[in-house]
Parts: sequence; C-alpha cells; structure tokens
Amino acid sequence: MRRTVFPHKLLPWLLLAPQLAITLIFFYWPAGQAFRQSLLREDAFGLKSTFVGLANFRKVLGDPNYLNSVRVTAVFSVLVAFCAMAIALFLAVQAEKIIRGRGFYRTLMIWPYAVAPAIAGMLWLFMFNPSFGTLAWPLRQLGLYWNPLLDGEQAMTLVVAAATWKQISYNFLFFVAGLQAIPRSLLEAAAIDGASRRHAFWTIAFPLLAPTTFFLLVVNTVYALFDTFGIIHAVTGGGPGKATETLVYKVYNDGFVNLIMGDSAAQSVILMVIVIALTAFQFRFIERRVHYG
Amino acid sequence: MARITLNDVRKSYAGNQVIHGITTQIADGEFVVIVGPSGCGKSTLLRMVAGLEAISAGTVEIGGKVVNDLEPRQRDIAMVFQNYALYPHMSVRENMAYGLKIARLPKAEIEARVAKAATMLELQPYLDRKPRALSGGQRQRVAMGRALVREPAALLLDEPLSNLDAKLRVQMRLQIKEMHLRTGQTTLYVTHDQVEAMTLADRLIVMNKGVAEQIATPLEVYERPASEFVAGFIGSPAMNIVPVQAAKGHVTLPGGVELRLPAAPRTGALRLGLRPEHLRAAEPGEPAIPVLLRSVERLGADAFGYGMIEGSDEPLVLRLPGTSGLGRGDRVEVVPDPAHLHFFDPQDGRRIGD
Repeated sequence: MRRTVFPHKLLPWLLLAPQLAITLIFFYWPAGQAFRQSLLREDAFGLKSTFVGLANFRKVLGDPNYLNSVRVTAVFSVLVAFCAMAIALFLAVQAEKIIRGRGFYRTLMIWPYAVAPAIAGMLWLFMFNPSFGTLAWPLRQLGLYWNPLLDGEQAMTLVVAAATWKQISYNFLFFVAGLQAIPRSLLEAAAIDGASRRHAFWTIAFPLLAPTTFFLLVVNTVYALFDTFGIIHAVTGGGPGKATETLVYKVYNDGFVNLIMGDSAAQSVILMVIVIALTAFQFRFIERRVHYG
Repeated sequence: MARITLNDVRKSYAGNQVIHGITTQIADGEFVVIVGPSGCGKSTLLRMVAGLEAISAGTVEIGGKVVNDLEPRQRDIAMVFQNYALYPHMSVRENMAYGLKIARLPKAEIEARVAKAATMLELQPYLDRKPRALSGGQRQRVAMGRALVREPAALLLDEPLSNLDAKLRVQMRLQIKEMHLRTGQTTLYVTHDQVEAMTLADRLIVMNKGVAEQIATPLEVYERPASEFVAGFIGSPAMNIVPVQAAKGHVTLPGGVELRLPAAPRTGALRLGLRPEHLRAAEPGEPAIPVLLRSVERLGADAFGYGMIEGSDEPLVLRLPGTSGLGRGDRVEVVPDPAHLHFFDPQDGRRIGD
C-alpha cells in the first residue's frame, strides 16, 4: 500500500474531522449516554437519578419478558435473514435465465428497497389486517383462521414476511452482481464435465458466491436486529401480547413508552454487545471458509 | 473414440448467418485443426460441436449419432477452454475428478485416472494446490488433464495455447502432439496461429468469414492453397500476391516486366501468388523481376527482404540467405520457381488451374 505523507501535521486531522464529528456526535456520544444511563436509576418524574451500579442489568437479565424478547429476536432474525437471502438468491438465478427484458425485471425487483420500512409495514397491514385486509378475507375463505391480532404465531409470520419482502431487493441486487461475476466458461466447463444445471449451481456457482453470501449474512443479521423496528411498529406494535417484541422494540417500549430509562439503557448496551459479538463471530468463523476468487 | 461428421452446419444470430454451411468428416483418431483469423466463426463452430451453441441448420454427428438436440453432457466430449475455466475453489485433484465424480465412477478408478493423467502431464506435485497458485503453463496442463481423464469420444480445444508466452507455447504444442500420438484421441483444435495449425494437424479446416475456404492436409494447403485468402493466411511471411496480365506463353507484371511462364492457365487479368521462399536470385542475363529493397529483417538462418517491384509500388517479400549483405536501397533480380506458381481469379479469389 502507498503511504502519503502530508507536509502539515494538522491537515490530516482536518480532513478527517467531518467524519469523526459525525461518528462522535451520532454514535459515540449516544452510546456513551446509554452506557452512563444504564448505571443510573431515575425517579418517576425524571427529576433526579441515582447511581445503582449493575442493578439495571441484573433486573433486565432476570426479567422473563426480556428473555422472551431474546427468543423472539432470535427466531425473527434467523427467519428473516434466511428467507430474505434464500428467496433473493432464487430470484437472482431465475432472472439470470431471462434473455429478453432482463433489465426490466431487475428494475422491478429492486423497487421495494426504496419503500420506507413504516410504509412497507402499513402496506402489509392493509393487506393482512383481519378486519379490513384485502388478502385476509381470501385467506379465511381458504379455511385458515387468520387473525394476527390474536394469534402470536400468525403475527410473527406477518412481520417476518414484511421484513423479508423489504430486504429481498437488496440481497437480489448483490446476488445478481455476484452471479454475473462468475465467468460463463466455468459453467460451460461444468456442463461439458457432465453436470446438470442444478449440480453445477451447487458445486460451482454457489461456492463462488460465498463472499457475497457472507457479506449479505452480516448485513441481513444487522438489518433484522435493528432496521426492522419500523415494520414491527407499524404491523403489530410488538403484540399480540409480546409475541413480536424484539430486543430493539423492547428498548423503545421500555424507554419511550414506559419511561424506564435505566432498563432501556441497560438493554441497549446488551444489544450492542450482542451485535458486536455476532459480527466478530461471523468474521472469525464463517469468513474463514469463504473463498475469495 | 469416435468420428465426427459435420453436415452443412450453419449458424445464424437473429437472421444473420455467421457460419455458411460446413461439411466435413473427422475420422476416428484424427487431429483436425480449425484455423482462421479472429471473427471467422471457428470458435462458434467448435462450440456447436460441444453443444454450447445451438445449431441453426445442418447436423453434427459424434460417433454416428446426431447430437443436435443433446446437451453437452450427453455428447461424450471434453473441452479445453482458452482461459482454461478451472474451478477456482477446487484443488487440481478436485478439478480433474469433478467430471468423474458426476459420472459416478468408483473411487479407486477416479484416483487411478487422475494419478495417470497427473503423471503424464507432470502435475503430481501440484495435485493439492488451487489453480491460482499455479503458473499459466501448469493451469493449461490441468485443463488438459481434466479433459483427458474423462476419456471422451472426442476432445475439443479452443485456442488452448493463446494465453501462454512464446516459449511455453512451443513446449506445450509438442506436448499436445505427443499426447495425441499416445492416446489416439479424435481431436478438434481451434487456433488462429498458423504455426500451431501446420504442426499439429492431420488435416486443416481454413475458415474465413464463416466459410470453410479449404479442408486439406497442411502440406496440401501450403502447396495448393484453394484461394487467395488461404494463400495469404498459411505461410510465413505471407505469400506475395501480384496482379498480372497473362498472354499466351508469358505474363506481364506491374512495372512492365515480362516473364516467360508457360504455366499460366488462361489469358487476361490474373493474380499471381509467389511465396518468398520460391523466389531465387537471377542468373546474369536471365529475364527476372527487379526488386528495390526497402528493408531487410535478419533472423539468423534466413533474412527477409521487403521491397517493391521496380517501376511500381507493388510490394514483394523475398527470402534471402542469412549471410546476405543486402540492405535498404539495394536492387535485386529474382526469378520465380516455375514449379511453385499459384494463380487466382481476380474476382472471387479462387485458385485457377492446377
């Protein structure tokens, strides 16, 4: 790598300053605040706070509601990441086969990504609300007792579907690019070597897609953990009961609805640790098996 | 082992024909080279035999069976690609065994075949390496090995040496020739390199703009090129083509020189082909072609003189002895060897006469 030496000592810092300022103000400062707050307990009116050490953490980790939220988050994240990636890969492979109008289909596939999460959530709500949903009635006609307002599993299915739907576009884009980067001659060589299309996909294309898949795995996990707040808020509000209350949603609920700042801050800190650990784990153990061509 | 029959094979893209009906038979064990300039359709033709391109019209038979509608994997062929197309995430061993595993051969048999090919290609020390850890020549050998272990009915090679440097290319050329002698594999080989074509082929298919200009043995192509295109393409340096006026018993060259050539097949405007190696220095007093040299390339054993026929701007290339002291501005007189004259029709470029 080339090293550029600046004649002035201050100039590099000045050039970095805007980025550093943004990171400090919007990331380190709130994170520091959350950390500080997680060690304090506020009175009911928010007038004074007392230092309580790790009591908030002890309380949160002993709370069965919190453990339920961990379970909900795990189920939700795994389902969203897996479905969004699997469906996107399938669609990308299908789009590769199209000869005429390929660009048209690709553009259509990418549109949902431009939809804001809350609006995507409302869209799904309008389609599947048990009383006025456009698709709820046909579902009931099919003999399915459809009521995500009462049935936790159906509510989970609905938010997973909405969150997946929104992320498919993004994954699709990357998988299409990844597939295009695979030299055609490799698949031709496989075809001549006797591989069926399916076999060639699983033994040649899929392993060569590994860098893309790994990148998307990290991105999708973070997406499912954090960026799905809007969808959950619009579709189920964490309910029924606490069936779709993910960790992020619980942070919001406890902090801004129930105004238990200490608990909420402690949860934020735990969430931060979980994400850092998860990402580190992915890089440490999965990336090793990734072949960068 | 099988023979390949092409019967009026054509290819068109959206109504635009790029291969205009090629018919030939490749005998069992024969080494046939398809040669031509880039864009002549030679790779397309090979890919049609491989099943990677659809055949627009005509039939391709491999081993007596029409394969037009068969998938590549049902055709019992193996192919070596120009960029080798090695699977980058597999070791050399896995690359070679890939097709055998799909064919569900017993494990011991796969091992044996890979080992045999690796020994033949001197790849034993590299079996566990990934392709990216190999040099160009080694990659090329792996590609060959992957094709050979399958023991296919026919072996197809698409410019397999064009990515190698000159020295390695000569070495691999010899190795391919030797391998063919050893395995007796029916082989179809595509190249734009006339030296590869001449040295490897039992038979050549010289292609130009989607047409097979000539299908014959290398020597025949050299000695009796069927068209002006073939004459210019095979041979190095290329054959001189000079426009002449033929009358009974003699021809008139540009610059007004008259040569007594009883062999002219007809009178009128013709194009006369003279290979540089078939022009010799004239004896004193002999009617000859005067040439003004513009430059001389010395290759050691030989030298090539580039000049023009005196009194015209018609270029002419001569082969001179390596020790020749001639240089720019010198004037030489040369006489064509009457046994090696080629006449072509000025309209369609086809060979006239014998």
